[in-house]
Amino acid sequence: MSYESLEDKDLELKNRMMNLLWNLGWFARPNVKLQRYQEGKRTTGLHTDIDVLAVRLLPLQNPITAVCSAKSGKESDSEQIFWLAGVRSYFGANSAYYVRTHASLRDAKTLCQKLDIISLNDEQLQIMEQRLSLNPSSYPFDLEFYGRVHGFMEELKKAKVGLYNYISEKYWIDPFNNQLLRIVTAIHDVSQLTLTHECSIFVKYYLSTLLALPLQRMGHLLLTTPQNLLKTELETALMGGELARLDKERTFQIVEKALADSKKTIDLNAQLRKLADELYDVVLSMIDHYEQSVYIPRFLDALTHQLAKGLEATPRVEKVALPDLSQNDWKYAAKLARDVLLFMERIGGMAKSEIAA
Amino acid sequence: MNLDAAWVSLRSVEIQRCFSNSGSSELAYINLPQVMRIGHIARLANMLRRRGIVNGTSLGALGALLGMQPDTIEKHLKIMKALTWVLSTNNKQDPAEVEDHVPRTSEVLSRLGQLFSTGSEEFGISPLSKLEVSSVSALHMCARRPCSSEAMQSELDATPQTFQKVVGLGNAGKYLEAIELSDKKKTLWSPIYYFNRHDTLRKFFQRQTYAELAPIGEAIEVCAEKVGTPLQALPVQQKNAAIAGMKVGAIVPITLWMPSGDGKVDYTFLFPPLSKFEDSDPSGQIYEQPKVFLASLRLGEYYAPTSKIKDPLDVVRRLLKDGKLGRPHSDAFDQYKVPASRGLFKLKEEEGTSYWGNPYRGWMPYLIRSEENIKALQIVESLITPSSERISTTLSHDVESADNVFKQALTCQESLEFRGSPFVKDFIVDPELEREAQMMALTIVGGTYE
Repeated sequence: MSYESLEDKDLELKNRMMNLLWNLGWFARPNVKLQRYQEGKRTTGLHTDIDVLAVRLLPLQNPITAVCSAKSGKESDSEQIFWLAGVRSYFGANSAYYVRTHASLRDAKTLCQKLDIISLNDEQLQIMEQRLSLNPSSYPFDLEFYGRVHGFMEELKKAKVGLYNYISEKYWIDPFNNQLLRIVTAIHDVSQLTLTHECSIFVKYYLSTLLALPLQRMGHLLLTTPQNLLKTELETALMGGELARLDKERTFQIVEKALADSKKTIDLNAQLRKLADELYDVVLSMIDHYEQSVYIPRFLDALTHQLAKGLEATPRVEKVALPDLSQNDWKYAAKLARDVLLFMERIGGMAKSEIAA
Repeated sequence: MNLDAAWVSLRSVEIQRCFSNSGSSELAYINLPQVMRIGHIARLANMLRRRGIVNGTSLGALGALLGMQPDTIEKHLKIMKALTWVLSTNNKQDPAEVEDHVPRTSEVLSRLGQLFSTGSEEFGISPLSKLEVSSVSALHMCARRPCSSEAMQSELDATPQTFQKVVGLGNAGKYLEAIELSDKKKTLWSPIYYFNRHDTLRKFFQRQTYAELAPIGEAIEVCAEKVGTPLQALPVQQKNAAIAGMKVGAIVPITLWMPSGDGKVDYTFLFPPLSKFEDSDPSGQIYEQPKVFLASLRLGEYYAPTSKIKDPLDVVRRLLKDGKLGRPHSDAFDQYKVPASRGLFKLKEEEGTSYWGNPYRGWMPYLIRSEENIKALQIVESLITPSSERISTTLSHDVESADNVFKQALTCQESLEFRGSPFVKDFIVDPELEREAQMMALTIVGGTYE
């Protein structure tokens, strides 16, 4: 994800696609780059980037993903369609949208059908918006929003480029346990960065949305685990499985011994358990209200939008409108969203005054 | 006496509970107002935990259950809101409605303990008075063993008047009781920690001298710290004291045996009279499932002829998760035969493969997954780490009462499992070092994004 270029001529179209998906219950991000990594290190090379990536959480299912190539040009190119099929496969996405506003798409239709890609031009997009009765007034993504997020992201990039690169690139291809741990590290780090207050609170809320995705997956994974085994299973999942856990615990022992030799007594397991305890609380809450946990990323995203649009100094829960939620679902989604924010506060990454009222 | 913050809260909970059951609660509200406040807030928080969204009516009902006036509950909720343990939902139809964000019980207790020990202007909390600190500390001392009045007075660093008041309040709340030992020494003890046996125990204590009492107290403490301690593993003096404790019922023994070269050897395992055990009721079973299972675990931990159990908790968790252990073992029959005879396990002889790839025959316990058996294993799981104290029963009873209000049953695991043992200390105190350690742990498990 990035909000880099304000001169991008396809911005409006990308926003339109994101609005469409958002209103249908998707969590959407623009310009996700697939950077090249060599021996685990980021290189300057770029495999490709995808115009819109969207994730939808549904109860009792793994997240479903959609990728979208959105260009406002006239051409429809077979190579581009094959490329999109490859990108979809790379992300393990369930659906792909090929959007060319001014193209007839007649030639591309057969190929798209064969590759199970949905092709849309402007007319079709309009028909789709009308048939789904979407209300443009509730569209959160527009150029002004994009511009403000661009500003905040540039500030973050200057302060900590590694963090910026992670959330804009690697996060999207990381396994969920790594996403969780790395966003927790990021939350710790942001509280130490020198950012303007506006940017700092925006980044924290932005991270909360990225935290909510793997948290919900953790809740989904542990849904059927008996209560008394939850904590152990959570720790194991966090470390990437039983074998990985064993390895990591051995590493703990070696490091602890080395530290003890240099007269520093540290119980690394206990330190991890402290974090796991806090995580356990928020995951438990998600399991208790599992049905509504799927709405948390979007709820937090809506709070982040309030900040980006400069509407509030601290976002307000009651101003969040998610069109597809019943009153009861909304109420519990609000509670769960605040659980995530309180988790961040309890691990020292957020001030009490910054939590949405 | 410097009491850990979590213990301050736990003892306050118990004092508040004792007064709420007695007719002299006014005395406590006048003399121990902050202690009562801690008790109320901790218990209310424990009842609210994991309840999602709680409406005003249910809140009122919980407050009433804890003996709070409507204005008191409002004041307590204000503190809880400031601590972000609950947040208002801003529901216009029900302005009292709140979201629950209550953290774990151990967190609640230590936060409250810290706040009330030092006081806080931000939350409008004044620190505990000298009388309150002394009352809480006195209960803490007596929870472990009977203590002579002089020793307590000096430990509490209290004036004779304050000490008298501490004793008077303890008497009124029935959490402290003065007894005179056979050497005429005045001693205080806390009958609430000797579940259902306080009359017998009081009489027993009164027949001892203070010098004789100390090792008995220590033996009871050892049994409470490590439930199922083997008698044979105690040092001689404590062993004799434990036998004395067993005779009077302060310690309940279970004897199991293991075959040896020339017949069999008996091993006795010691259990304090915790309310979790059936035999805390005089008509209850002695050879009840949790106790028998824990004794068999200790048997394997201390006396297995080959490969002793290294981590009993791991064994319990594996049984709960998989319903069986990792590999069949030749000692498993002798170790688990008594729990099997109580209907906990089915023992099967099976073929296994050793680390070197050789086949061998051994026994495998299979958990019979009945509700009763799973509960027994869960009790053992909660007991297996030191310091599961009777005080936690108050909190788990509160969860049950709250279940009735919400008509939604929760197993509030952590309220059964408070581990505030003074023996379990955090290694790190320097906050900078702690942060570094946290980041190091995060890095090792995969939290580096750069």
